[in-house]
Amino acid sequence: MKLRYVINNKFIWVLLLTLPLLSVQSIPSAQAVIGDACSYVSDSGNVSGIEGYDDFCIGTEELVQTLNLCKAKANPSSLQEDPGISIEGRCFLFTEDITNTESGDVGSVHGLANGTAVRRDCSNLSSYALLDPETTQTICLDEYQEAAVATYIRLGSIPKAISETLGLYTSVVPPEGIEPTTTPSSIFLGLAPAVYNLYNWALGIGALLALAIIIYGGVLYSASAGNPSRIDEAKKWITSALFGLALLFSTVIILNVVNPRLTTLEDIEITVNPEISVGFSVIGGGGEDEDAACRAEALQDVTTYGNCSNFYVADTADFNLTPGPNMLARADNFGDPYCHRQNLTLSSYKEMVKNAIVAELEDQGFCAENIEHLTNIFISSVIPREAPSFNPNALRLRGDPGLKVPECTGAWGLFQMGKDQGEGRTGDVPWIEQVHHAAVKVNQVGGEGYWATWPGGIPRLVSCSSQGSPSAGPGSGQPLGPIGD
Amino acid sequence: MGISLLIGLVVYWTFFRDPYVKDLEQIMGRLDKGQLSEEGLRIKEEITAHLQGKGGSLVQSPDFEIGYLTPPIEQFNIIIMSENEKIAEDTAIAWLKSRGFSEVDICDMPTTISFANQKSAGRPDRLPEICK
Repeated sequence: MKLRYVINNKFIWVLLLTLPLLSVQSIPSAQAVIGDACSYVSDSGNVSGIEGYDDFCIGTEELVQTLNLCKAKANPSSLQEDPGISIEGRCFLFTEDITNTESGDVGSVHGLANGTAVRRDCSNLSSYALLDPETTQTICLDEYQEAAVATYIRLGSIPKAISETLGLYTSVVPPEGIEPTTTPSSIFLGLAPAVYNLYNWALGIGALLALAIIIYGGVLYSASAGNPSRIDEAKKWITSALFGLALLFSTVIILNVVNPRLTTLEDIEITVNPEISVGFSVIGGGGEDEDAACRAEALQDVTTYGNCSNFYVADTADFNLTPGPNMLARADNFGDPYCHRQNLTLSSYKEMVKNAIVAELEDQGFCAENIEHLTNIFISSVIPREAPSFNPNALRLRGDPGLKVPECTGAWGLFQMGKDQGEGRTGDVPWIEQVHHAAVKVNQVGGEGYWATWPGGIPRLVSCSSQGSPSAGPGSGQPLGPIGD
Repeated sequence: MGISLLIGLVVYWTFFRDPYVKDLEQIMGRLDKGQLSEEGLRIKEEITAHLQGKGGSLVQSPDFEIGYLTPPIEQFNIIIMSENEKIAEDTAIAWLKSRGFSEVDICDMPTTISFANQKSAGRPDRLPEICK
């Protein structure tokens, strides 16, 4: 009787059918989460944490807006409207000669992060200021300059062209006693997609249950033989199931009406080495340190193919590889994709990269089966995921999943490899070398952990029918490990 | 013990497996399987003749591009630039059909979908909807 009460109780069924939705919300997609994960901390209170740039993370949209302001400033005639971007909270300007009066630290991201990030104004230059290295006078920036400088400090560099346009001086001063790291710092746990899968699964189960109840109600109705109480009971079963079903499928709509944020679920991001804050750009001082040197090398000294002086448009991620004026990344950074692509369709370019991968894998001694297998993984999964549109200049800053300007500790290129990490792990090189390094890495014993973002992790090599097995570990069919950075 | 393991595997497979793994596995499966019909082979030779044995573009539009990748991962690759992905995919498939390919041949080629738009940036390739 109790059991019958339980299974015949409308409320309980509704609860059972909608329970999964109480804790599970739909998400747009895992990719959207990554793109939206960037937000900056307001200056209204104490900036929490000591995560260096992460505290001042600027969202992609804001970044583009700010860069548009920068461009407008560089070319005033193009300044048609003020997008109204707020620069509150972005006053991170200081030099090694200026002390953060609140934290007592000098020229350190940590000092700034631990202090209260107040907006700089000219009456309070002791907190954050800009020092002209030649005149040693403090420079007061207008808001556009400040937005531009703050952005580039966030990004790790102030391009010379911008600096000259704004009349600024750039240099890089690493925090004292802190060594640069080369470790990319963000890991997404992947819980959001798992929860999303769970939601979809629960939705299906709920619908199946409802269907089963409706069928049961129908059978009960058919077998009631005109008995009013049986008919009534059958109707209750069916209406309860229909009600639960309606509620089940309308939950997301209801939540979305109440507050659209209730229907989104962002993945959890873990920051690796949060206390390591490496070289950052500040205004003032002179000369270049290691960070500036490596950036300069990446931007200018890497061997390029042909005489390419084109620049990428500063769109969010250079998806279309469109040449044009750009203050973000030069096209000939370390891949020369525009030089290579200007007369190629995307398909031809993709074929070119594919052929390079095949050749490199052959050089590594992989058998035909594994060449096919690995080429497919690289072409269909790794590169599209790591470098949208096969952009060899795809850039990822430390602590920032966006694709922006080169950063000495970030991830670069088709396979999002680091800098100066040896053959097999270096991405700040022309794309053909990126491909070579990727092939080398696949064939290295212990290299399997490198490709962490290959979906699902742990691909295994396939069996070789005859010749051409590599001497290193992967050739024996052992797990390759997750792919990605 | 065995049942628990089985349940665990089912739960893992259902909830925690990256959804893109399935896409990649499906592409791999098609690459391994792909055997075009005689008619399909003839049409493939016809529409790739201008490439003279190399890979490259078969057709381009502002919304998509259909490319041909040579072995060892021979395939038609539809690169979608439009953010209206379904329409672009349907149009590209319709173009392949208009050249005489059957749906079976399109899938057996295989044909893959890539994305070059902001909406799906970073998304790995997948098979066309008609091939799933």
